[in-house]
Amino acid sequence: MKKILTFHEVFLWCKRQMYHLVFVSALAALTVLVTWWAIFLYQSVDLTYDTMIDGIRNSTRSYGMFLGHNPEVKPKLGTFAEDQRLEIVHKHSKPSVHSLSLLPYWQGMWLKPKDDVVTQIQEKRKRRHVMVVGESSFLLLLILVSGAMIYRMYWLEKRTTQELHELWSRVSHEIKTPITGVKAFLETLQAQDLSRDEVEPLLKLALKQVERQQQLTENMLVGQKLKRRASGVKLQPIHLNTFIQTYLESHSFPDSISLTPLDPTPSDPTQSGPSRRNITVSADPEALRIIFDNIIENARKYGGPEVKVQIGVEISGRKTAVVFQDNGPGFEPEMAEAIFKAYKRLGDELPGRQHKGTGMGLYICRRLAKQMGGQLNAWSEGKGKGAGFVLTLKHKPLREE
Amino acid sequence: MGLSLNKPCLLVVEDEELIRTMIKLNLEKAGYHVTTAETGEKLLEVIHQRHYDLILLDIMMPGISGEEALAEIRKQGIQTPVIMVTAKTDTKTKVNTFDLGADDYIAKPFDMKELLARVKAMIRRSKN
Repeated sequence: MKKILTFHEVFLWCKRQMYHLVFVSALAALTVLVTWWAIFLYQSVDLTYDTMIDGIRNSTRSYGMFLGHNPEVKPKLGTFAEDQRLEIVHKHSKPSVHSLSLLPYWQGMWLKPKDDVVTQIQEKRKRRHVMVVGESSFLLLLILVSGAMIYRMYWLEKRTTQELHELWSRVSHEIKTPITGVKAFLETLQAQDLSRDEVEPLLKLALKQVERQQQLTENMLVGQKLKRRASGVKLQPIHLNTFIQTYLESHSFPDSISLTPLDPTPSDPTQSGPSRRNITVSADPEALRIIFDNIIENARKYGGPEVKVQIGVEISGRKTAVVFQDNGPGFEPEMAEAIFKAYKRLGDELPGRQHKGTGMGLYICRRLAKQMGGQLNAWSEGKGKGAGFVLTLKHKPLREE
Repeated sequence: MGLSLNKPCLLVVEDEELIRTMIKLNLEKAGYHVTTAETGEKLLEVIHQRHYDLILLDIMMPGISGEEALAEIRKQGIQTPVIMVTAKTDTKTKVNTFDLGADDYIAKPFDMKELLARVKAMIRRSKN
């Protein structure tokens, strides 16, 4: 059954689409106006030059009649003295549309506009036409391009609002979860008589939740700063291996996260053995920590607490790469770039994973890596095949070693 | 399992370890026998192992979501009362979970006392 739309429904639809309708109408009106103006100008050019041609034709006719009816003065061949635009020619010379026979007395002669004068007028008309068509096309193009740009701005604004809404929903979940745990822990401490042995593991869990909250807050703040381009990393020479060792120790990670010993066969033969063990890179320790936190946290978020992450260091030319390889669920290879977009989270498409994380982590990491003059890329051979991240950093030449 | 003959048996499904542990601890102190599951998949596995008097179910979990797990157990004809415990507080989600077969809803962060009171009320009602 075909549903007939009521006036009210049409009205509501128009109200919803008001911005689109007003915008499209304004653009259409402008386009029509410019087209109409172009046609008007084109026709006025025609009119102007038709009038000029008519003027010459009228002169030819009047002078021709006058000369033809005067038996006493024989017209001289060549340019007509009274009107330089005309010429008198012999009957057998090439005919012209505007030629007039000097009848009845000088039958063998014609008065006609000079060829070059007519050509000049026609060329001028052509030039004016091209000008009008060019100008109006440019104007139309300008209108359409600015229309498209305005529409794009509107669309981007709308998307940003949507993203903010989504982000807010995620952030509220991310804030509520650790608070719920910690609150339940504190309430229990208050209400129940727990032994030291019972409290100890719970304390650790609660602390982890607070750390999670801290990371979230940090990501949000860094993310906002980066969006405003106000952040600046402070580069300094960092001993990479020492940094990683200290990082792993300070985070008391389970054995699942390990540092791979350096590859004994260097990929770059110019690198000698000892220096490889003490690679110094130019980086910001704080930024480096944020990147490590996010990549490891992601691996554990998606791969569960049993996930294994291998951290390796590779040297190639003037760059050093920190490679993170996990045995988690991985992702489709074509997602390798998309995961670095702000607000994008892997698993958006999975029902259970909805609203886990803020979608800012990897975006922030890549921005930080770039600000340190490096890069951050990801790869995976497919779902279920683990994910890899490679953080490229610039070498800092060693002075003291 | 012999020791819990008279105790109501509850199943807590929650992916966050701290929340899961805290709920379990408090419920046990309140005299319930508690089994836990970290994921929706685990819930579907343990649900057949014994009879439960009540399920506390989180919505946002890795893998199968709480909503999907709820729909699945209802589809299998399991009529155990379910209290949803989640950070999602929008009306749409609430209505949807009730439509899927939830019996009560408690929003995170919750008061442990309120959670215990709701559990108690639900067990009392289901016994009647």
